[in-house]
Amino acid sequence: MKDMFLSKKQHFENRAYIFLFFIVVTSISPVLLRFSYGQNIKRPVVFVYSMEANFLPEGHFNAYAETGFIGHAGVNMYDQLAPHVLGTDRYYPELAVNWTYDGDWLMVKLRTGVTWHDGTPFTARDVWSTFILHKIRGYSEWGSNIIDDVQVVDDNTVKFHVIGLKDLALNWLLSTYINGPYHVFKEYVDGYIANPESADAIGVELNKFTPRTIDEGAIGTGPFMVVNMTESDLWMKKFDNFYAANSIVIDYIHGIKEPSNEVGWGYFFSNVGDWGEPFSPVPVAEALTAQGVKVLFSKSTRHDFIVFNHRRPLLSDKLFRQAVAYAINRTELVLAANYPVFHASKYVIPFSDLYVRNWLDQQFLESLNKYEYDPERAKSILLQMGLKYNEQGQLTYPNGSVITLYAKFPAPWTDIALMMQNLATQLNRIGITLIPLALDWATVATAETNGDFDVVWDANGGDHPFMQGFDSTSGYGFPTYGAFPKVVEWKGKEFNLTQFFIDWGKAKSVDEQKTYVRTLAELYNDQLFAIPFADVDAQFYGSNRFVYPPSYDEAWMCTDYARGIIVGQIHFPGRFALNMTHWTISEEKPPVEQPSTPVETYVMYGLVIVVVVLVVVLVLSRRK
Amino acid sequence: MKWIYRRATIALLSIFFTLVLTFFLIRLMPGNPMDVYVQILIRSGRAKTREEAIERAKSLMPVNMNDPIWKQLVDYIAGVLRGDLGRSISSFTPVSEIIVKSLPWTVFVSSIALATSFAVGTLLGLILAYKRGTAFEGFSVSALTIFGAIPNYIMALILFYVLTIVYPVFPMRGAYDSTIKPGFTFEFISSVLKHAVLPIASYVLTDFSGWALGIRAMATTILGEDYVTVAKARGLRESKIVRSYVGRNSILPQFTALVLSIGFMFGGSPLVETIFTYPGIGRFFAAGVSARDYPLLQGLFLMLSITVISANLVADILYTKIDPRVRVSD
Repeated sequence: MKDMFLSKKQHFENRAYIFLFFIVVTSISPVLLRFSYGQNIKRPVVFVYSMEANFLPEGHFNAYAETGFIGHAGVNMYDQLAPHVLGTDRYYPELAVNWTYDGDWLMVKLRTGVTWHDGTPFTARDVWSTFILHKIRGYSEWGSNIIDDVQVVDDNTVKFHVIGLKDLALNWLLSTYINGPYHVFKEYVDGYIANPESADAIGVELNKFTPRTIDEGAIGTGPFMVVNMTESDLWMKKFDNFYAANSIVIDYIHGIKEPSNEVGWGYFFSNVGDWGEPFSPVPVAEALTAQGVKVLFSKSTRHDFIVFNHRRPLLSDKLFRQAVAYAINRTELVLAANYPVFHASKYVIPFSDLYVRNWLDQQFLESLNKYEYDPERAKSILLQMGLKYNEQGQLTYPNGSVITLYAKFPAPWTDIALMMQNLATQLNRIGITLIPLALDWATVATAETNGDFDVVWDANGGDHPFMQGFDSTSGYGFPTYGAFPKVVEWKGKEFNLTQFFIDWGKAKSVDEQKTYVRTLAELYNDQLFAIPFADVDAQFYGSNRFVYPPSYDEAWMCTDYARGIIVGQIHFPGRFALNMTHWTISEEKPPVEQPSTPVETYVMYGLVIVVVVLVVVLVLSRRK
Repeated sequence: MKWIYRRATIALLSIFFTLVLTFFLIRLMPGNPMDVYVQILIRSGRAKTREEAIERAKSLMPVNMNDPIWKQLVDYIAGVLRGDLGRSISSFTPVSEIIVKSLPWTVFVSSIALATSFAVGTLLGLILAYKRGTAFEGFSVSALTIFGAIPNYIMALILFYVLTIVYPVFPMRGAYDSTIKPGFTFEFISSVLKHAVLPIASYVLTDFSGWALGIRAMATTILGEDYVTVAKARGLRESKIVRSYVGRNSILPQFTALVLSIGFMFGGSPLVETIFTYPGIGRFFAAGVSARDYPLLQGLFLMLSITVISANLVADILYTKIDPRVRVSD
């Protein structure tokens, strides 16, 4: 009889074993269940995008407020009519599917079946509304006399009356983001139509309109819509009614704020970010690459210049500028700045390499002066000008006073600061005293706006050679007031730069355009309004969770590279894709209800546990 | 009471004087917001000509920059008296809204950090005073000196690197998990606390040493006082001596510094808040200076001057209460 009953110690041991089994079973059963059942649960694909943007309290989605617009997110919320591929004459249909241009009117046929994120149908009136908002804001296509009218033809057709810059107009208009839905901006647009004199007052009111949710008017027609925003995070969700929703593999965009480069690097070192643009010096870029982060480049997005103030004596003399050009080793300059995103300019013209190959032939390019590094030649030009060298080897005016130039630049821009330091070193070799002044951004801004400088850095951009030339020549584009002359002496005649660009704007054929590009290249090469020294590639970082096309692929060339990874899925299917072998579930949880765990899973959990416990109890209860 | 009214009046006059001084000082900085915005518009390609950029920038300026300076000052003071601090030029958001939305986060983190660093520093200082002459004290003083010399933003970078990248124990950014709906729930509160740990640690690890060394110096002096010797001779418990004699008298000189620190904590730390993307008021100071955002800077400095001057006033009033040896003489 005694043996039929268990002792206290045995009871305790049994309970301990049961408890241990319970722990083990409940720990491993989810893993077992996952392999058998859990794979069927859809996991959302979250793309983590590190953005240099301010979210709350100042960020919003009104592109027509002068400040606060979250552009990085906006490019994924809105569509363009037809984005232009940089350096080519190709456009990809988005909201515009067809267009005709008879030299007077540009007629644009719009895609049908498109809706805004709030469900309102997209029509031609929304395109019209967008351009009226441009007019209220004084955007260039109105102010520079490119168009003087926009009309709604029918629900799916809009037309523009083009009056200037004919070739550029197509590029300019089709590349426009349609982000001014009529039903959201009605009061402003109708108010302007009723009283065009009220544009300034309407502009002030537009600054106060700060929609942050769909209900407030933060809507687009693009692939992603706003879900939630905090001070440090922005959530966007795939728009299921987007016209190419089937092409978009990403379910959510999680925008994370990148307040500084150091924080941006941290996101990639910790495998949090999937996309970002923190500026990185070479050691950091190499460390990131070693970790498996993809470093991607979008070619020639910027062309960098050393700009002179032509209102200053000596700097207004072409010979002096040419001497400086010979005195600069452009390779040494870019190595000091930030290799590998900087490439020394091969040709001293206002166009980046991207445009050179499409618009200028090789024979012409080789005929231009390359201003190869030749400090002795630089010195001889300076002496030819009547300048002298003192005993210390410093360049002086004829009266003996030392020539001292000041270069102003924003101190936080490390690459430019390094470049300017190196420039000072190089010019010092031929006796020119250049003093780099690292100032805060606002001080530099005032100096440039008011023409209070000798030498500054600047860059042009733009996706058309006209814009690149305009930006880097006439002084209207470069934010440097008075830095350039309007009329120059060239080939024995007066050359009016302003008239040159007006005439270029009227050119129609591509061959005629090429003539203007060639003329400007030749003029620039001779006059050296500014000295171009580098092509700069935009540098991005991507995680190994996605497959990206190779650098310098056309997929990066669709204007606004910030949206390339997202919208690239539509226009370049297969070149942007998930890398399933490296895909891990993002730990980021979207702020919407997760796909709920099916009831059957819990039932199976329960059954497994009950069965195992019963077996254990039965087995152990028979022990002595 | 007369004394308090007098001090309060002086405090108000000080705030007014600071307001006027700040108004002129920020305008003495080279550069102005119009030029900054013109440059932004042209460099971003949103304006193709300088004239277009200037016209568009004008719509942002909450005041007419061409008005005489005295008129701008009068308009500003009138606005402050109405409770209108103007709109930030760089974001066009009302300055009061920026302060209301950002200040609580700064105060939350700074107050916990201040209380923690003061408490830890005081305790450590007392321990070191009792352990004076030992190797422990020697080592600790050296370590405290080193910690105190580290700027809080360097500590923040170290913590960011070690505790969010190398060993991802804490969140990298933000004030709370953006997937949680804000509210009085356990989930939200615990998320807020977790996100606050590293910013608080950045302040505490660099600030506590100052308190500790100060308390240690005072406590070392007080331990040699006659009344402490008498207390020991009377057989009082050591804990009572520490609490009622040494500790209380050591804290007195630190009290003023503590109250002033409360005033200054409203300014936050631009760099710490930037590193952790913490939505406090500090980053607006840095952004405001960079953009020459006059209304924003004026509002922030006004807020800061009110808190510091008020803290000074409170310190004066409270000191007479806690130290019976100090009396107000009319």
